[in-house]
Amino acid sequence: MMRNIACIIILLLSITLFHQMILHVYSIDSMSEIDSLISSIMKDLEYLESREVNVSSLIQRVNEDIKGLEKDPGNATYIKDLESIRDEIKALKSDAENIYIINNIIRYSTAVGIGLVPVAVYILLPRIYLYIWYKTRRRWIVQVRK
Amino acid sequence: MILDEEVFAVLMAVVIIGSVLGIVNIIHVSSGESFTAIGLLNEDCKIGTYPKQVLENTNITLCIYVYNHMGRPVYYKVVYKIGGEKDLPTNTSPSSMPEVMSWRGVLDNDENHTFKILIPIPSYEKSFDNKTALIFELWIYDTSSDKWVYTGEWVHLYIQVLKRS
Repeated sequence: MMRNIACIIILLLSITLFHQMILHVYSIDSMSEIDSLISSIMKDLEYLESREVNVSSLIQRVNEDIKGLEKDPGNATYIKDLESIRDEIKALKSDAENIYIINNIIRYSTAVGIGLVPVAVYILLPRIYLYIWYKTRRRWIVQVRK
Repeated sequence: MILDEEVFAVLMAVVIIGSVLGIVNIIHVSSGESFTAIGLLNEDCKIGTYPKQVLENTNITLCIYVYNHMGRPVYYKVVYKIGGEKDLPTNTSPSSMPEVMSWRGVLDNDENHTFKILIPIPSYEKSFDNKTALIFELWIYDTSSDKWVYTGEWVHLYIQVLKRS
């Protein structure tokens, strides 16, 4: 009888120990898996931001997913959302270079436009001033002083 | 000349300066020195009135503030450690004490997060001379080396852990 009880206790202890080990290994794996998943997303987000693509909404979603996964590491909803973010990033990456080129064209065109303002002022200001000066005085009658 | 030459020169100077400033503002992209920051706030997420004495094996609520000015989005974690005066981190090396908990998040450039945390105060055989330090270190994930890197920024709060009688 005592021997059976001892066997059951040893068995229960072994199961508990094994369970704890599995839990420990699982939690470490899941956090490092989250890190590697987020790492690949972050690399792409950094690239997209360097190409001046607005990624703030994606960053907010990634942040919410991380917070969710921290509370519930195995939750499929957050992992699925991270996968969909990855797909969205793929689509954005194909357009990123075009967006960057267009943004640069707009930026440098604006800079050239602003740079031409002094030249335009130098050429046009005296002419406009003269035009207004003559226009406001066109009804004047010139009288020769005696 | 009908338009006074001096007036014209002044007008041209104003236009040229305005134009140069406008161009610099459009072309200048750099956001200056890159850094991150961490702050510790009380349970109302305000500065001050931090807990001084805490009963062992209880939880306390605090607030953490994290700011990113790295010029790029960052994946960060705030690592919670418990130690004594000698276990505090430096601006080059983290505390040698083991991690108790951590909180992760992603921040865009020039953004900040303020979030509440519930931290456990475990009982320790070893006492820290009635000056237990709750240490919060800021780490960011380096995507080029795929490793967590200590930023050199931390905050700590000294408390007295009261033993249960």
